[in-house]
Amino acid sequence: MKVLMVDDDQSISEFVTWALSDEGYEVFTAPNGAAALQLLERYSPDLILLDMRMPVMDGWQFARTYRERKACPAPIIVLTAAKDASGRAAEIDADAHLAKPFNVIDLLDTVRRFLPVG
Amino acid sequence: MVQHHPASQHLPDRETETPLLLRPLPADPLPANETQDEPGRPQGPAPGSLADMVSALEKEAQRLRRAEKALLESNDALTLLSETANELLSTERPQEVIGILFEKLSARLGLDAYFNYLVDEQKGKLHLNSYGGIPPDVAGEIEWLEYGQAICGCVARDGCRIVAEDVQRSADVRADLIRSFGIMAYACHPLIAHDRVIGTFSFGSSRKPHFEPHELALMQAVCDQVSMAMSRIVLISELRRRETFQRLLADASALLAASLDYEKTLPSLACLISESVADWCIFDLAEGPGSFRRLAVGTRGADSRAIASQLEECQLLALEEVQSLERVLRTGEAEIYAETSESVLATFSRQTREQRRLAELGVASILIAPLAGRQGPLGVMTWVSTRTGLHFGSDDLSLAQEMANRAAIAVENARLYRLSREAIHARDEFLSVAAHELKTPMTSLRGFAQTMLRQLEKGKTGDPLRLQRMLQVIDRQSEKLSQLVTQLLDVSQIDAGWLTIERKTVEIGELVRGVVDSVQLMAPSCRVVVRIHEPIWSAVDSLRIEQVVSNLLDNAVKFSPEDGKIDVDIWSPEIGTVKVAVRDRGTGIPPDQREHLFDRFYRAHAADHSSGIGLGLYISRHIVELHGGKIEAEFPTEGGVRMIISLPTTLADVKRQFRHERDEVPR
Repeated sequence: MKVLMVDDDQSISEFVTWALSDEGYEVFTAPNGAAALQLLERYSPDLILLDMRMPVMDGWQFARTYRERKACPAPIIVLTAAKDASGRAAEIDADAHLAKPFNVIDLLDTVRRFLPVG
Repeated sequence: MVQHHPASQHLPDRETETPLLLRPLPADPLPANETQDEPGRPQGPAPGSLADMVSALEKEAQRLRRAEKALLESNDALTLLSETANELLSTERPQEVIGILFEKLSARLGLDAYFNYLVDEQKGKLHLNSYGGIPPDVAGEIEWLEYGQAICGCVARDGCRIVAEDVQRSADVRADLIRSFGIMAYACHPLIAHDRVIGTFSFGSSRKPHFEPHELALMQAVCDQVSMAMSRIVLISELRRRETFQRLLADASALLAASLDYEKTLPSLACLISESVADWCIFDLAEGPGSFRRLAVGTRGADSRAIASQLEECQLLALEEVQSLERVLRTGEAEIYAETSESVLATFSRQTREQRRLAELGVASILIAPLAGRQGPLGVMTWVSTRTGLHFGSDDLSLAQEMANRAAIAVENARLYRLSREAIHARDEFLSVAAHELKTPMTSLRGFAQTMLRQLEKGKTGDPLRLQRMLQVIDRQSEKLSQLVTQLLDVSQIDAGWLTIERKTVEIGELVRGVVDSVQLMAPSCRVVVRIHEPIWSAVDSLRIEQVVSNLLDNAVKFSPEDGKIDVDIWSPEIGTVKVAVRDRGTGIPPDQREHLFDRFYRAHAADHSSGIGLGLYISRHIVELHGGKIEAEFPTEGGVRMIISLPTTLADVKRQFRHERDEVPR
């Protein structure tokens, strides 16, 4: 199962990759929305983990463009440091959200809700 | 009353050549014999013969007949006065019933002509309001009188009644006019309202050479009634005017209070004003030195936009063009141009063509009031009257000032509200950014720690290389967190005024090179070229200056392309100054973002989320300023940013200061 991790903070992407790879998921990373859209031309993930505040192209713009382009878009989990994480998720109609700093166990539980098998 | 008035010292000698006189209102004349009666003396004939008794009775009967006649006459006079009072009180325009009053009086007093002049304050002349007994074409010739001209002009000037007798035989030049109308006896009365002469009312007879005292008294009484009626109307119209003003002010207040958006409320106010007190109302706001914006143009009836565009097209009444508008703005004093003569219009536009245009638009009177803010005028409000005869006066001025004050308060409140909203927004934005910046390193700290723990719980020791990498990240993220916390503490110290520096003499080039080395280590892809022209020593807080240089370099690296070149120069442009410049070739700063670069919470690249917390340059500026230096940004045309710090090299002074401080230490 393929997971796309979009976040401008390299170290967050790094540990999320390790944690999910350890569970058997295949993880791609992109540092912003524009890079993620480029990756999507070659890969189609089963789930997207999305940061909101990013340079070049932010999470709002990515989500809008991605859903416009894809007939069957993958579910999106918002990872945000904003005070109102659920509000942010609602803004882009995300499927789930995790407030930074999140617990690795919570991350794995949330991912398993959408992709039961790694 | 007596038929024939006895000659007395205040009546003129009718044979003299100067039968014209000024005299006070005569006292109510009494029958001569009554005035001669002495109180206490027994009245009636002395007891004696029958003839004496008859004579006494006859005398008594005569006295009674005289008394009865006097009573009847006085009754008639009272009836007449009651009728005239009725006429005057039942109208709001007493000046229109003057003719009726004359009719009533003339039948009784044998009058042949009357003249009623009213003061025209604008013109400073007397205007013939009503007349009788002369042909209209003759009246046309005396429609206007100057103060002091003819008898009416003198009465208006002096506020005293003039009674003229035997006019046809008089040589007095003041009587020339009435003499030409064939008048023999003449009485002209001032009409006085609130201690001011508002006109005259005069009566003439061509049938008798003089008026009897009771006739003069009756004319005076009617004129007093007219004065009172006119005073009453002046009062009523003043009350109505005030009521209208109050209602207008209340409407204006309600309008301005309806919204904080003065871009919408001032145009509505301009309409309100142009529908009531002025024909055009214009609001101009000052937007900076020499720059103005026409916010609203309201016009009565005609299309506002058409007038506004006409004004715009030929720069009519434009603040930049017109000295008086600029003067009102500068001095904060309102100005009135009651009448717009050619010379006045010339001050409102430079070109004769435009002056003509103003005249064509019918500009008749102009009033300019400042919109006075707490720190000087915010703009001006201009009222224009385009109706001949409607001239602005001091009453309009007080209303205009009240209106302008309300408008100014509205503008100022809206601006204060906007400023406070912006401050709140900046604070909220800062809190949200600070939370983001603090939570991001925290997320990876926790993430790596938990991933390691999970591995240990599963009994895996894991790959030593991976372990090392995790610990490196944890170390770097905690360093990042600690830097952020330091920045936040610095800002709170700056805000409280507690940030201090500890000077120590160092070589600036060496200090900068140290910072460059550590930054280069973290960003090996960037090429940082350091040029030190000469060694420069200065007493600075080396930790703080390192913090500034490091902040500038971090920004340069952050906004530079991969393997971008960064130049660092250290030189002394003149004795006593050292400069450090950091130049990158990165994204640069958009022109509209440059002004606030060194402000607190300011993030030039906020839109793409690549700016940090918005405190770095703000803290740097304060540190440099504490050193007595300054920090500037240059924006080279090839792109990127060049940040320059200038610091004084205050070695000698600092040494002296240190010595001084040591001397002051108590032993």
